Amino acid sequence: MEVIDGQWYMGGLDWDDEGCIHSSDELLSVIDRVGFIPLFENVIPGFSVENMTCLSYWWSGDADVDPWEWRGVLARTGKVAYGKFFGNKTGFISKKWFPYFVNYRRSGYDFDALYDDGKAGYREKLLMDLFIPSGVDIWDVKVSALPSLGLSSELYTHEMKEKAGFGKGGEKNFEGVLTKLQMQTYLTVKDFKPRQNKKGEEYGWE
Amino acid sequence: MTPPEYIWGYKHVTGRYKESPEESLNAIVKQIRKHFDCDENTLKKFLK
Repeated sequence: MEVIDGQWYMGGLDWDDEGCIHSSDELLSVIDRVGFIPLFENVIPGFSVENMTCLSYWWSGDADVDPWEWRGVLARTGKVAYGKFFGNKTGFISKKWFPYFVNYRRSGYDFDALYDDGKAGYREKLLMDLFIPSGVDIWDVKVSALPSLGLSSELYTHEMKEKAGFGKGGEKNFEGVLTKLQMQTYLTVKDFKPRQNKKGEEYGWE
Repeated sequence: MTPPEYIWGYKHVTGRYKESPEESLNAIVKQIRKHFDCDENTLKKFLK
């Protein structure tokens, strides 16, 4: 994706191009083969979902052919990780290659150790505390026991923002802190759902 | 959002902790260069 004179321009292929990906299943195969793929065009020629798909179907809303919809389709499979992993921008990483990113980005630190060593801020901790019980190492967490502790194994971003006290009159820079935790591989996207306003009308995604 | 450990388990997610971060980065760079034409330095900057 490129911005020229304030307008966004996307690259991509023709639907009939030999290298064009036509479905989420095809994209999953490519992610499995390559290991990782950013969503949008970047400094590496060809290395993005944008570069491998047909522009005409982006944001069409048809999950069979719309790469924007495939983010949720694939995140829900649990076969790949989706999140802000590439220069604060989104992309996919296969299950096989995720541990390599984890070790590179975390330098071998679980989050509690990172915080204890003064290498993570309290705002990051506010968000991670929504998922990991106080005083429990993450390898020792029983996911099924989280609800009884008032915690969840997964949360939508608006829930995280509210529960951790970000927003009006509260902590600042929710998006920045959340992006940092994804770049460090401590959090990943599990699902998407459309946001609703007070009238129950859908707008945007989270 | 969720910690990846809750999807794939702690053992899998942290399975490369035994090697240095540099070794993991080099493996990622090597894998990308199998499929895309890009010099090592550009890739390492991109992956920071």
